[in-house]
Amino acid sequence: MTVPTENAAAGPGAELPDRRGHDGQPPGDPLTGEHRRFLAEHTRGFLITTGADGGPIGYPMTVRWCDGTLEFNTYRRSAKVTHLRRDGRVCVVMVPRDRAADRRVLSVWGRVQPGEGSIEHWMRDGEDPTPGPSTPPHVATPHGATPHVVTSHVVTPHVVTPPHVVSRVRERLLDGRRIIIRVTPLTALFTPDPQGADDAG
Amino acid sequence: MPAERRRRIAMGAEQLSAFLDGSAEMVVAYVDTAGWPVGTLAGADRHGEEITVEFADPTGTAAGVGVGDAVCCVAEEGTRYDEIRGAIVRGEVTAAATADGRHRWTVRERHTSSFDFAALADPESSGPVSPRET
Repeated sequence: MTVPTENAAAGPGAELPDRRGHDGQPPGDPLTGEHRRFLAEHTRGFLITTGADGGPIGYPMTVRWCDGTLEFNTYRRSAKVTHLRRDGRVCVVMVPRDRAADRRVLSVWGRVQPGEGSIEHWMRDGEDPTPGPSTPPHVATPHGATPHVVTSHVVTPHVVTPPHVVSRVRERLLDGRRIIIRVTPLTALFTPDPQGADDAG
Repeated sequence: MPAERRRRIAMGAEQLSAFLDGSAEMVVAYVDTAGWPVGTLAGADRHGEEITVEFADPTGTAAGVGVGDAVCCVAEEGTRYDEIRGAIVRGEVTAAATADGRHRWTVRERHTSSFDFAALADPESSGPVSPRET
């Protein structure tokens, strides 16, 4: 089953606009294998968009690395969706929840990608032995209260989302109140530890 | 997200102030000269209704931000679902300095929204909401 990702305003296959009409390149470097491994290991992200007034707005989100794209889900009628319809350029700051275990921080730049997002990616149980479509007990998302995929690369702990929250999120994905936002990453950059230990890779 | 639900999970004024006062790290966000949003993790120190953020910028884009420019500071913490809380502060730079490759901005708070997932821990509540849907 697929559900629309956030391209409804632009239409199928359409390019989402750059609010200011600029065609500048994003900061950062092309994605490396290390960037991709980091994205596969961590789910705590901050989605940075541009508001109607031209200023930045950041949202804590659960972020999933799926088939080379970053995915989120959110309410279809949310403000962030409005912002993304206006300007599809985003920055996603990935911060491990266990900062003591991994002090790296990765900023990723990309564009919201028109297309279809697979709802199964947000429903499957990963490697957890728990049967059925429910979210595995140790798989959870603090942000947006959405489930995420467990991968063998996960190295930092994840927050357990209560089952009633997971169920409601799935209902809302199925009934269309929530949608999947998919971002195609263009560039990325590890940034120095703000506390001074410069272990950025 | 309905406004009523946003209110339900928002922190009270005192809780929010204490939370921001205790947040030593925040994601600071700005828009670069080409129009791309940029975010990075910064050390943070709140004093009154201003936040001072300090960070290194390997992108070189922060140099284009100065007094009067819009920025956003996001704080979030929690290791258990019902402990997760956070705040999104939109404001403007009132002072900017760079030393030893590190940027130090003072940000005056203009609009703050917050969330506390403790309000969602009760299965009898009206369901999950994302506090970010503002």
